[in-house]
Amino acid sequence: MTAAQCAKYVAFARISATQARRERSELYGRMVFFAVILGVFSSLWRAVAEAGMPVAADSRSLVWYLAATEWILLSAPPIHIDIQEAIRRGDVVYRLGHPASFVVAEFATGLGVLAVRTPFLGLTACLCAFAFTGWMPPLTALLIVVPFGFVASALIMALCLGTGLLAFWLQDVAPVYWVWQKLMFVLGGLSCHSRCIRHSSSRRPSSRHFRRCSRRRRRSCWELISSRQERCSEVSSSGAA
Amino acid sequence: MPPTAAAAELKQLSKSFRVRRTRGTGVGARLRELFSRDTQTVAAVDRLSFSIAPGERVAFIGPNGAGKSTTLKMLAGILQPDAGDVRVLGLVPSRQRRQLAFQIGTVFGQRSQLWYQLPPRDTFELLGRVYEIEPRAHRRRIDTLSSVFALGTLVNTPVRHLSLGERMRCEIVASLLHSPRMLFLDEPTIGLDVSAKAMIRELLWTESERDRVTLLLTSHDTGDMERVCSRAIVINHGRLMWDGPISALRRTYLKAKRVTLWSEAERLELMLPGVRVLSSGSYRTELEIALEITPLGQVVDAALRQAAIRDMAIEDAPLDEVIRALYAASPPGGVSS
Repeated sequence: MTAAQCAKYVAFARISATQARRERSELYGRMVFFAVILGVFSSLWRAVAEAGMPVAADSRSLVWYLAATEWILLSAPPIHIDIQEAIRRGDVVYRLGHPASFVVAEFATGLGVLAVRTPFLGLTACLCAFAFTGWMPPLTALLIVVPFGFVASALIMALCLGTGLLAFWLQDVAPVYWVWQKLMFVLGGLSCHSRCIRHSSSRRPSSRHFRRCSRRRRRSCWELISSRQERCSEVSSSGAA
Repeated sequence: MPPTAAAAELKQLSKSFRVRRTRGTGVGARLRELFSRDTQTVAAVDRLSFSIAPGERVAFIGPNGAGKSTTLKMLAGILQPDAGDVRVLGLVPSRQRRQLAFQIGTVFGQRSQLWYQLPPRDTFELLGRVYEIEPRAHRRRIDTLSSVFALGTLVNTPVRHLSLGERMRCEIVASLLHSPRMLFLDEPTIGLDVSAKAMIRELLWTESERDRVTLLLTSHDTGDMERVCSRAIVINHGRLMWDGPISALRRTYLKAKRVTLWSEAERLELMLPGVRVLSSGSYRTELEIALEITPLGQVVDAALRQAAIRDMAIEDAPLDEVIRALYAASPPGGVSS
């Protein structure tokens, strides 16, 4: 790709970032929504912990964990809807008529929106999580989460883009979106956990695993995730051997 | 097909779409549709052939669903034809879409390429990058077109605050920024008021005349065709119905004149073959005369026998009626199961 070609996609990202900055009501709406769901979840996990029910980590860590994951999800613009609407309205004829790749231009447009939303929603996440828990994870952990979170949002956006392109054939891509979202939930979230749990249960009963977690409620969620990842890598390396 | 000097050349161009056909309205029919669907092939464009010379201004006319927009999309490289050959400015649109995009401009009256929350200048800047225009030359071009299209402060006003006419002027400027050699316009004056329409027509004509930009304009407004174009291509059911000068279209399809007489008598009774009284009363009579049946002089003589004539106006029939007559003459078709 030549410099001129790169410049046109940078221009797409820049103009969409400018438009995203102008659409303040949407940004503020997302920030308020984010604060509300974090408030609800922090109350929920506090109530669970106070009731003495088993939880994987202490309620404060869980709220920070939720803040990070929701930050990733809410930052990613749903570009599949934009593409679907552009096809329905017919505006896509302009976008297809430009001497530029439609797919790359759409991705660059999404990145522009992402660049505006990420810092605002990240700040909201930190402020709300701190306000609801009165605790902050180590700064190094937060700094590690930021680039990974941005890449994860971009990956979600790329999947949305792929889903949006199906609108050329399907007209309505909402069912596809819901299916892949649930698949992502099952394959991305549950499968990793189930492997870890299966590995733990091979050594001790699964109930004991959760009991151990609940006993160590104060143990940070971040530490728990990293220890699980280590266990997962152990499992995969032993499987490969 | 070898490269040609024509701005656009279509030979036996065809495009069809598959559409679902409903079996019925009953519950059984609905259930059967869940497992198997009936489709039919609709020919949107059917063996269409014409050629447009560089600098020509052509009106592309047809009723709704005639295949105008489909043809425009094939000419712009957005759709791929099923059969036939098409060349625009020596390029094959479906295979050389990006190269062609640098040389053509498109205006779709019911769509927008301007970023809604931002001033048009931001979109113009983006298009400068997209069309790889040197920044200084691009700024000069924006200034020139802004002055020709009298945009003034509109270039710095968010698009959401612009009226439809103002927005359309900005859309046309956006399409002309890269100095295209050919401009495709799909109903550019739709929804505009009379003065905005007149302004857009004048600007299109001037721009085409000055830079020898070839125009292909689709519209349902005969005013657009008459003011901007010299040639008309009429299609219906995807097939070519007429191709020639607009003046010849009128002469061929409506051999009638519309005559208004202001007489001393309150009303005139003209019972002549080929003469239809459209309105009569208040010393004014409006007639439509089929000149092949009754010459104009014979009608005037008959009127003078009844009363003195104070004034008279002779007009061609409106182009709307010519086109309506043309559509009525075209047989339905283009659908094959």
